[in-house]
Amino acid sequence: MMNEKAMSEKAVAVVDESKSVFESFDTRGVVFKLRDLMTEVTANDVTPETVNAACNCADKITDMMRLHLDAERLRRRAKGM
Amino acid sequence: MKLWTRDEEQILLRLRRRGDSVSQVAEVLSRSRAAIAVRSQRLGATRADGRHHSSKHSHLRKAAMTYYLTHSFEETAKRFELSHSEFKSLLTGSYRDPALRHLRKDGRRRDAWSVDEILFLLRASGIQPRAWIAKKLGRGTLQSVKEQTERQRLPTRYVNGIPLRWTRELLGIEDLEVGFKVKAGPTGRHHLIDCRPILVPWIVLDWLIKRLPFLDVPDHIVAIVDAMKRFQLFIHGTRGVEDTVHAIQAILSERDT
Repeated sequence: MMNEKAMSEKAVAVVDESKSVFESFDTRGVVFKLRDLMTEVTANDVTPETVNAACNCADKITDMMRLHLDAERLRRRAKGM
Repeated sequence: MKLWTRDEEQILLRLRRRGDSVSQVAEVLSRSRAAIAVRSQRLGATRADGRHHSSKHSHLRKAAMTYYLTHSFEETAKRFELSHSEFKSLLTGSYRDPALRHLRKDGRRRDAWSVDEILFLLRASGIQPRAWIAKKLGRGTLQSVKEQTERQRLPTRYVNGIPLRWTRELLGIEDLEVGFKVKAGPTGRHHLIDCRPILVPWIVLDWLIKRLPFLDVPDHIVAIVDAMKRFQLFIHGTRGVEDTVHAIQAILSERDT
């Protein structure tokens, strides 16, 4: 049976791991991937399906823009507190 | 309070399943309508046609729908001596009735959206109202455009750019004056409150970021703006800032149809 200390060490390890995953999230890289996908999908064939796929990529990109602005607003608000 | 007997419950169930309304059953059992409604609900005794309430003007449905095909909403309501809400309620009931499907006043086209139509929708998104786009494409009302944009999974207001307020926040320039006042967006009841944004096209935003070296814009935002600029060039079929801006201005300058 796992004792308390071992459990807390495991929990710390999980948190550290998720932190490192979060920190290594490369927003710019993701945007580039989406941009390339958006360009590639409509490069050869422009059909309702490919336009729809490009729209989905654009949707995710604009989501990131909104997320960035929201985070900035929160940061400014926290700074002002 | 008068308790319900087993016989009364049997009668209630039989009448409700036959299709009798709450009022009719109340008359037979000499009880209030509320008592019948509550007991029916508890016994799970809905009407035979699946409806819980009797409609007020169901006898007028067919005639009103037929007349409405060639007349306006107001004319039909006046002809059948119905108020605005009464006629609206009648239409709601009639549109749910499959037997009256052939009398529906629905001018929508049923064919799939072509690439050109989708691209036109994207070009005008966030610039002109949905009703304008629907009329231009001959696709009925704004509802069909709304359905299509939902299908495309795209927030239409950001297809062609972002609001000026966001641009100011992003670039850190409080007194920046750039962009177009669009015709799409909320205007409140009777068009009295104008909340339509000033839109800064992605391509203009990209141009600003690249031409103004003193701006300290994060790398990922530069990448986002660049990606959306490319998307905008694709949907407008343009190559540079000037022709894209002209294309947007052309859409914006078109009058209401």
